[in-house]
Amino acid sequence: MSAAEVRTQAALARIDEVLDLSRNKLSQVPEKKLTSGERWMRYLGFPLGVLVFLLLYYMPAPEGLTGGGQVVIAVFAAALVWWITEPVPTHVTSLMLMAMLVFFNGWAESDVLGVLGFSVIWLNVLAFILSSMLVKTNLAKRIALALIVRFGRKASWILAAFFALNLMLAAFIPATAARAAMLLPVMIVVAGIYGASNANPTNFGRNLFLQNLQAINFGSSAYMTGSNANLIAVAFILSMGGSRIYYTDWLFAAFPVVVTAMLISWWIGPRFVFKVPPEQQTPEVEGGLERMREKLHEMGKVTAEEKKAALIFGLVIVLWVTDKLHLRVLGFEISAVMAAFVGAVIALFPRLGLLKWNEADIPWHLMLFSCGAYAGGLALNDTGAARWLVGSLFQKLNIQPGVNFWAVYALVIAVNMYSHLFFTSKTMRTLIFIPFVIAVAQTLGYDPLWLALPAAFTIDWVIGLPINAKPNVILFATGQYSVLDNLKYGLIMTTVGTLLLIIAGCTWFRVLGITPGW
Amino acid sequence: MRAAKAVVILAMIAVTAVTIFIILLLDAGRAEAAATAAPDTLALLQETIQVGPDGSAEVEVMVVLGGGGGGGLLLPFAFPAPERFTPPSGPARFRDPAAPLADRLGHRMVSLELLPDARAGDTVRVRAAVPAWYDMARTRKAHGVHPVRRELVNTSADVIAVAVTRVVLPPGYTVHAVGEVVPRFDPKDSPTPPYAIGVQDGRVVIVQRAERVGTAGRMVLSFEMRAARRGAVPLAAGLLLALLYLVKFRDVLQPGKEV
Repeated sequence: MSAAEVRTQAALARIDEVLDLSRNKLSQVPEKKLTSGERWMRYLGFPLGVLVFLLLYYMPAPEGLTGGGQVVIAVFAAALVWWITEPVPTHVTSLMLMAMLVFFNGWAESDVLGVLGFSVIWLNVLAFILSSMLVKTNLAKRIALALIVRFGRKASWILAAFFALNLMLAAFIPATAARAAMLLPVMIVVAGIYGASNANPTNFGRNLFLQNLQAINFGSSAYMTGSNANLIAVAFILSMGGSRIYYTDWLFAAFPVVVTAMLISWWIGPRFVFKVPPEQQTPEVEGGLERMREKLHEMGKVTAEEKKAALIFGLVIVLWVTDKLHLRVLGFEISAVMAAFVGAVIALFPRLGLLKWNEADIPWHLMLFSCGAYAGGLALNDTGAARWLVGSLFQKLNIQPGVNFWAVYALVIAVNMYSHLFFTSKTMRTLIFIPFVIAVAQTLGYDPLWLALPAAFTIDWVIGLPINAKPNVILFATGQYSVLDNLKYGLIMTTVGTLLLIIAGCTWFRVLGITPGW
Repeated sequence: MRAAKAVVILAMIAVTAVTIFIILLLDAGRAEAAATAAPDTLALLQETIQVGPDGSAEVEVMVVLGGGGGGGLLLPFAFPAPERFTPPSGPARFRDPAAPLADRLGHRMVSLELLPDARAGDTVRVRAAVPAWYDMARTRKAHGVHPVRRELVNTSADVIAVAVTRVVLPPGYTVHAVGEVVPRFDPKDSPTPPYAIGVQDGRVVIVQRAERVGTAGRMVLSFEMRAARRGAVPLAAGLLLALLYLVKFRDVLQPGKEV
């Protein structure tokens, strides 16, 4: 065997290695190498969280806040510190949070335990079952290889392809978690081809996963039907503000903002936020794209198993996309989670399906992490603490009639944007914030539309922390980035989004008649 | 011909008279309706329950009249065994000063008589002491909380335009959680809930407000109260845990040692 043949064989073996997802199981928590700064954060994070808790817990109860609400704020703040600094794994922080909520009487034990049965947790479990099916049958590998061969000449092209894909999917699939579940296996394979894995996170991997996280979330903001929270905001604007928003009103206003934000993120991510070195900008294996093309060719025709997997997953996607027609056609509605149930049952059904239970790669630590995040968020809502925080904030801002509209506009956008860091549900944030924004507009004598619709465009910008949204939790399971990485990129893009919406408010939205015209 | 003219004239007079009569009748009806509509509404009913450390309470029911004129007024007064009534302030007196309370279908009410010079906007206050409003010892639950449920049923014949329930907690107590609230809070109607927690003279007070409470309409406020002062155990345990972590995990700072 010649030296060239040996190299070719070695390259192909390397491709097999990076594409072998059984080596990077999501259900296993990898050990991470830490920098000196991260070590200090871990060391000091735990006592810092304890101090934050004690400070808020023993503070004299502020006027208007219940004692239970104060407990929940104290526990949630401590958990936030621990989630960011990671003195213990994030799922352990979640368990601590849930225990503390019960021990300090912040939220009832039955409510805390009930979170594990929430549809979001089920959707996560079922999404990972479907994802495992795509991985096992090599369909995910085939799609990823095809994507790489088509767009993979440069890392930036593949990142752009994911942005475009997400923008397209958001128009048809309103469930963000479903979109994350669909793309997850493809993302993992693509990351692997570029040398990124949970055991070896790279800047390419950080960009890939965090840009997808952003695209899945704020991509929803381009369409009125992009998320349920958008529709709730529209309902508020109609019922409280008296303005009807049509699909095209939303689309014409928000779509350009979203596309611009995606372009900015795509441009700054690999260049400034997580600088991708030249060696990570092409597929890691020797021979690069040629070898990938060979590998794809080697996979041959689509197998019967792949077709079956595509059929099962296709059925789920059809159910997700056609949710509005279910009632008319079937007489009942199949929710996103029940659609995933259908797919998972078929996938796991002996002889009919493709997957055995032992082959389903379900990261249970992630479910516990999700439970903690949701328990904290829901407890904040149930105890009235979230409403109190928002109400106090608006009160503190003391916006009086006569203040310049654009100052109020900028303030409302910024507050709505950055507030996502403290919420775990878009719906909850919408239910609390939008009525306040409408009330502020009415107090100041403005048309509520001027403030409420731009504020509604911020709802899907939930990109700062893994706890802020369902897709964030799913992508965090890959172990390709840390909480701090997420926060860093998230804060940068939140600032970009805030500025974009302020600029759009002063220009584009005026043309459309959303904000007061010239 | 003359007879025919006379009949026409008489008929015209009769029609005119009937028309005038009908107009007067309708106008009188309107005037009567106007006279009776206002008194049928209480502009405000506010009950204040000032709870003592032993569970006793000083209660006050205040109404702002919606209309004038004399007549009877039955005010909801659902408190267990109230005593030491003070004579009502404002243009009203007890129907029977010896027995200010009346019982109608199991609902306790104060029976008042409004003085003839009572006008819309006048305020009437009734105060009493309730020695055993709340059993502090027997109602204490886990974590030292006391569940409280206050229900105001409009047992009067009048619509209450604005109904307010104020519960002033015992000194040193705070509201731990708010439970059932009727009418239900819907953020679609208002961004703020129909109850508020505040401080008055150093004591925590929880206030519920409802509008247009009709006869037999009710408002409910359930909440938990507890001593505001927190125990020292969490403080000691938290500091100890933080210290132990710093000692036990100091090797985290060395490369290769992970949590």
